[in-house]
Amino acid sequence: MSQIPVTVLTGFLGAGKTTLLNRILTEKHGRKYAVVVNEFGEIGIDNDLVVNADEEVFEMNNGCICCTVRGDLIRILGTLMKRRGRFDGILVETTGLADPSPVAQTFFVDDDVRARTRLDAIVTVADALNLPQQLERTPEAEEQVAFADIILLNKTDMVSPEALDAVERQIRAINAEARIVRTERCQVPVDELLDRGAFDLDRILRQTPDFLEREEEAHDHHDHDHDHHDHGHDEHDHGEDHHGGPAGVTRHDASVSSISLRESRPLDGEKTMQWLQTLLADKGQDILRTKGILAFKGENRRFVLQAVHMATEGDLREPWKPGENRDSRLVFIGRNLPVDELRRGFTACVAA
Amino acid sequence: MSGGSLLEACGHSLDVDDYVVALAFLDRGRRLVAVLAEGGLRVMGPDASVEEIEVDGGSLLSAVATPDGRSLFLGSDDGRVLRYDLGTREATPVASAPGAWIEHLDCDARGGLLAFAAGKVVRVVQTADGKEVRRLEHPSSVGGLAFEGKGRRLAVAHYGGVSLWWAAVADRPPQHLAWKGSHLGVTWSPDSRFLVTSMQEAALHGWRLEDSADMRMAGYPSKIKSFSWMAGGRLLATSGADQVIAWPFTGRQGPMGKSPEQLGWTDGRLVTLVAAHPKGEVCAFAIADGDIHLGQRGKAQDAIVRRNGGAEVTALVWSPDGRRLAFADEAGEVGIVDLPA
Repeated sequence: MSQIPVTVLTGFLGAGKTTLLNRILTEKHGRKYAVVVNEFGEIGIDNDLVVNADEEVFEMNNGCICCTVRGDLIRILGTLMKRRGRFDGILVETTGLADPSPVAQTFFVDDDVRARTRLDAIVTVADALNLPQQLERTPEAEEQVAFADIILLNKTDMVSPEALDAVERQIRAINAEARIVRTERCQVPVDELLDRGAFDLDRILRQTPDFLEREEEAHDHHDHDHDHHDHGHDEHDHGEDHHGGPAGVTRHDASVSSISLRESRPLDGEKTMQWLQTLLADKGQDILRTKGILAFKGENRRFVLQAVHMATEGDLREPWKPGENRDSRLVFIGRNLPVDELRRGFTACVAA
Repeated sequence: MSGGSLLEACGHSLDVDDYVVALAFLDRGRRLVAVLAEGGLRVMGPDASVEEIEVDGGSLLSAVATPDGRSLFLGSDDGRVLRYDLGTREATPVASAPGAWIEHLDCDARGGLLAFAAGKVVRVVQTADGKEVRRLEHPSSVGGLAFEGKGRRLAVAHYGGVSLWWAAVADRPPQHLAWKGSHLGVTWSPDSRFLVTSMQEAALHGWRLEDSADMRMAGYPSKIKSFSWMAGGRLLATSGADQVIAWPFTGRQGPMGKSPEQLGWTDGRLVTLVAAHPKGEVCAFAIADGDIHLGQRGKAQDAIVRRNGGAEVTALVWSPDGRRLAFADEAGEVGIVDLPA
């Protein structure tokens, strides 16, 4: 059975979330979406596929101390699945003040939701003018940027080109891997946001194979202290890039940053899984997102990994192509990332 | 058993071309009503006739038959509760809670009261005229509700436990049965001594009502989406594992300190729905791949109701006399099996 793609739409009040929703619902793009809005939202569309949600966050008694899910969302998605012939995808709006973890974890934790839906992307609508202050003042703004797969940087016409670059650098310092789409009044083709498979690093890389490299280069452009990676086919090519504090932006200590690790030597599958399990059990409260594509020794298929805090999902996917660079890549986004420990731990997973 | 099935041997099926939300036998098992997600009913009569009943408005989400088997209450996604009546052969509005999805409703044993959930609120109305009797508030959205088999107590499951109300007594506060976590479905033991909920976790929780003692029934590989009392209420059959797991509710202790019985055989596949025979020690169950079996207590081999089902089964019900078994699946197949006497 095919899984319905779900896009989570987050962002601060006034950033343009409602404008975007209304556009998606009224524009003729040939696709139909069911929309789950929060009960305080104001959506001016009369559509029988618009559902009000209560944003009920439930703790799970599953041994995972930070595991919370959206109980209302589990129910709503279950009911929508009975009518899945009527729409092509589902949009879930969250309030500007919400921590994105429960909604993301819902897609990992509930069996039915996992079986029938697929988290396509977390799209964060950010307001280019106000985002810098919001990042300073509220941890939720930082979390929303950290969780995003796609950041719609809106109201770009209201700031100078320099300020826009500065805001983008600020976003990159938190989340180096998200795709940033600059817009005015959310004027962006819907297919740039929806049904992109952006939650899945593997798919992003297959669509744009140089995604990480490109981002790293863009980043390096702003930060000349970083080593430029060797993207050649050297046997021991080993890439690593920390997108945290040193990016030229002053940020407080507990701020969110990201690190992407790369290893061209094949990994020991068992060792890697054990390391990740221990790492996330231990530091999963601080590590918000983990994404990876891993090449295990003796395994012809790529292992694709996703985690939100401690909730992890991973499986073997398509085989590596003949002659393809079998680089393992691992991205962590979180607070107080123990950069050296992560780097050492990852290197220690290289197969003997 | 050969390669055949009871459906092929003594049943028939039809395609209703929609997701079937619920099935209900009315008219002492002579008529089967299929409730369709996109709205509308199909009523299958004893002579294999099929009547299409239109229901105005939104999609249908839930259904419960009245105890006399003469009518069926329906909940819709536009906040309405409707009553389909065998006499008028129409579905007419009874109550409404604009903006809410009516996913949970139940009728009391005498058929005089109907309770339905609209978000966090449960409304109790008179079935005769739709007049509201009570409005019951809860701390979070309602996961399920059930009237007591005999009396007029109403159990409402929500996050953090169950609220137990006297449905018709004004101003009487509820008794709270607390247990951490999100409670979804709820059921009373037929003797009203125990209350059991299914949870967001792969576990059931129960309470012995005389002293509110907690009972935790865990060990399932998957969420429990279906339960059914069998063997005269001595066992609670449940889905969520690769066999039917049936907990004993005999004695003062109920299932406390006891192991559940297992029945049915699936070759490792997940049981998704259970429906115990109203009288005997047989339980019909649906498997994740759409197959349906009859498992019998203490018997190693199942009878096969449907083989190579394909689509997941969404409803499985017995006629009150236990002579007919009906099922429906996601793809819109509705089947009825008339069991040999």
